[in-house]
Amino acid sequence: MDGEPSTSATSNANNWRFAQCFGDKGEVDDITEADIISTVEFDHTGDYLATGDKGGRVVLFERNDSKKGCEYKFYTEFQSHEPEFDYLKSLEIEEKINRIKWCKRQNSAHFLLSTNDKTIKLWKVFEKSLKVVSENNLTDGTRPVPPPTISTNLRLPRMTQHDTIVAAVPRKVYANAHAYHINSISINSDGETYISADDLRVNLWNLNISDQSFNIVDIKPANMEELTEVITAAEFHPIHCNLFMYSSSKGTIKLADMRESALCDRHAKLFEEEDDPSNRSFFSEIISSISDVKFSKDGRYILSRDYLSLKIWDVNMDRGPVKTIQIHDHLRGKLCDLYENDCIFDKFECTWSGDGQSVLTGSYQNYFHIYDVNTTNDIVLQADKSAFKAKKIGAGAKPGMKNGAKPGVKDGVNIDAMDFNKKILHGSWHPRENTIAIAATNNLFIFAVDR
Amino acid sequence: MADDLYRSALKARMARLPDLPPWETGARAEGEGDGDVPGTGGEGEDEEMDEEEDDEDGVGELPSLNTLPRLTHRTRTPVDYSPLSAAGYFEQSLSLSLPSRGLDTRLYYTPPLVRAGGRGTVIVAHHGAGSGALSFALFAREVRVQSEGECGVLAADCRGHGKTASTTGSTGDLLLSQSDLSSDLLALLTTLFPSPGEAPSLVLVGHSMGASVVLGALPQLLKEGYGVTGVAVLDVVEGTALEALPHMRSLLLTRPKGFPSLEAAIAWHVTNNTLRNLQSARISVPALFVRNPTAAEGAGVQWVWRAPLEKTEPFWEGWFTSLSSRFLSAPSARLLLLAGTERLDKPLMIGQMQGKFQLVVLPGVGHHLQEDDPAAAARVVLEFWRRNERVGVGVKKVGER
Repeated sequence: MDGEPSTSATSNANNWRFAQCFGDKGEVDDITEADIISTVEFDHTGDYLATGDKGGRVVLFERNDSKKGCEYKFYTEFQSHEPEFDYLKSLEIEEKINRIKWCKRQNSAHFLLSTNDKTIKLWKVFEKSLKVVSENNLTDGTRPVPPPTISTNLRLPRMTQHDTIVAAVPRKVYANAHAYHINSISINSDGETYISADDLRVNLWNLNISDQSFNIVDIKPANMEELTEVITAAEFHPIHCNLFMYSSSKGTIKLADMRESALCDRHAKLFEEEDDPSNRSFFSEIISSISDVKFSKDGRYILSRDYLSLKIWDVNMDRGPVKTIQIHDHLRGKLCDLYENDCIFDKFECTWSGDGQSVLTGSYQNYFHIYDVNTTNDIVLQADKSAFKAKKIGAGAKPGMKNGAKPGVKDGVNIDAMDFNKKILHGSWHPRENTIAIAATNNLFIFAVDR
Repeated sequence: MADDLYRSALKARMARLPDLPPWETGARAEGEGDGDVPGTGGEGEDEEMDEEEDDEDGVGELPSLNTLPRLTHRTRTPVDYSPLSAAGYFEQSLSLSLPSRGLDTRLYYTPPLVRAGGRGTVIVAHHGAGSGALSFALFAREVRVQSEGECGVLAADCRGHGKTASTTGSTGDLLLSQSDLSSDLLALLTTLFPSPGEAPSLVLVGHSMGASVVLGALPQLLKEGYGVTGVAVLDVVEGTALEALPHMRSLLLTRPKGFPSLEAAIAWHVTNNTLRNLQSARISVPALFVRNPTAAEGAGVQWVWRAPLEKTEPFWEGWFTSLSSRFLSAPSARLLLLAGTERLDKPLMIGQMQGKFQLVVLPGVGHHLQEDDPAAAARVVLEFWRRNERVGVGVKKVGER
């Protein structure tokens, strides 16, 4: 993007290798629904990795620095959300964790926000040392001791460190602010506020105040029958604390400035690409719906994912994207079937690399793509059992690579046999290295670049 | 699910899309225009019906969007309201003279197929007030088709209705008390089937007022030795009918006095939902009208009502009073067939709980249920007949003394 195409290490497919897989590596057919991972997020240092699942649990992994390579180990797990029942509407509220966002580290404890459809919680995760009484008046730690007879021999009990556990405590619960399902949360660069977005509204919270929030965007129509557009994602600008953006199901991204007015319904900038009229079909509107939108780390670019493509926008230019990358354009002919099996509504996430030179997004059959932003070179990898078989053999060629073309295989993908039940929707990129965490149904895959 | 709101909004929008011609799915079950006859397709359609065909133009290459809501097809061909002949629905049309009753009765008859040694069965259908025998035309054909000819159907225009003429003119036409009508029916049946021992077994079906007539004739029929398998009452409940009587007069006042043409008369019956089945209306409505003797040539009201219901008001109460108790005490099998919204009155409700009769409710039909859904009505009546007919010798049938 800055002129010279860089030959980053990430653009060479051979460098990516499978590192780890967490989870029950059994067949897809009999996985427990509650184990399906619904969100993945590295923290700001990359040393900790959080995953949320459909059962409302948050699992944290910690980087194992003692090992030379990239390795994560299980750190702690806690039940973040429980299933609830909305008695007023007679609806179940799923405990599925939709998003996790880490707060910037201020002390030895970790703070993270996790949200389900209706409630956001601020969790404090910290190491708690358990102390145990080691000496008292009746024992000296190993054997009983006769109680003292003279008052001057009375001693205070002494505590020693026994164990350290990792404890997770909900510090704040931000509830009852959303009538519709929360799809994103984003913490401001000021570290004090954050936004939560549901289908029709975006609310601004202060991390310290859990009983109040401000509504800053409201696209609910007066007559719900006229509903045509919903908000699909929202994010704060990484540097400017007054800017945030939100994407919609109509394929628009709106950048809003909170300094302008209290209610940011009027966008400061609108990023929308005109549909090519020749390509318009019955499904054009559905596939133009943006499923995820992310600022680059430097805040100069916006990455958006719609059903078939990734688009990179320059924040300063709203005329059109600077790059459009087709992910699985061969699905364009199958939109009818994908509509019938509901896959057309799948929400794929997209992620920037830490250096802003690559982008990551998922596809079907557990394939995921890493694109070099400058050369749009495409690396296709697969997060499934074949990945760790390849590791054992130590083979250099990975299945599904562009270079290894097989007959009947297009772009390394056999279209007709595609399994639409296996999809990579969630992923996260380490902020400082080329390490990625991919959620494949109930398994967590870690891929890294050879150092 | 998180995107339920978007998806439900999307589906709501798709449901509001304008009507499109149906997909070529092969079966032409979709897209019934107003007036398509449910259950059409039997043999023997003598008349070339000009019914609404689906626009089966080639829709071309369309994706198989089976999940889209089915879009109904509005017919764009003009609706045909012209009168239809009853030929092909009934086998015979007879005029029977009943001197003892002073009547020249027009009746329509489809004889049953009599098996060797058997007597056959005839469904005797009596129409309601202001109606005519041809209201059973479609029903008769359905019965013949569904019973494969085993069951015959007999329907007559009663006194003062349809093509039946009274030898004493208008005075005779207005002898419409229940006892008179029952005696008329009795005379008709004894004339048609003089020997009770050789007569076919009968299933009596009465629609609205006809139920009262049929129930009145039943005891005498049994006394004379005719075999009656059962009696079916179509869409009349004593309590509801009596309650509705005060409103009948004002309702009749809002009816047009006549029509310029039979097409207009048929169209009126269909568009104000009195009759929901266009094909049946085209057959039965013309018999409800006679030429207006006082009309100017070629203009004005050419056709007036054959049986002006206003004049029958003195008899209304007599038709419906004690209908429920007579039904419940009728000495034969009993069937009550109601259109969707009827409610039972107290004696019928108690009777139903005691299992004294079979109750069937037909959905989607109006008061003239044998016209609106003749196939369903025929099916129910035939089933009722079969269940009560095939009883071994020596076993008393329900209600038999």
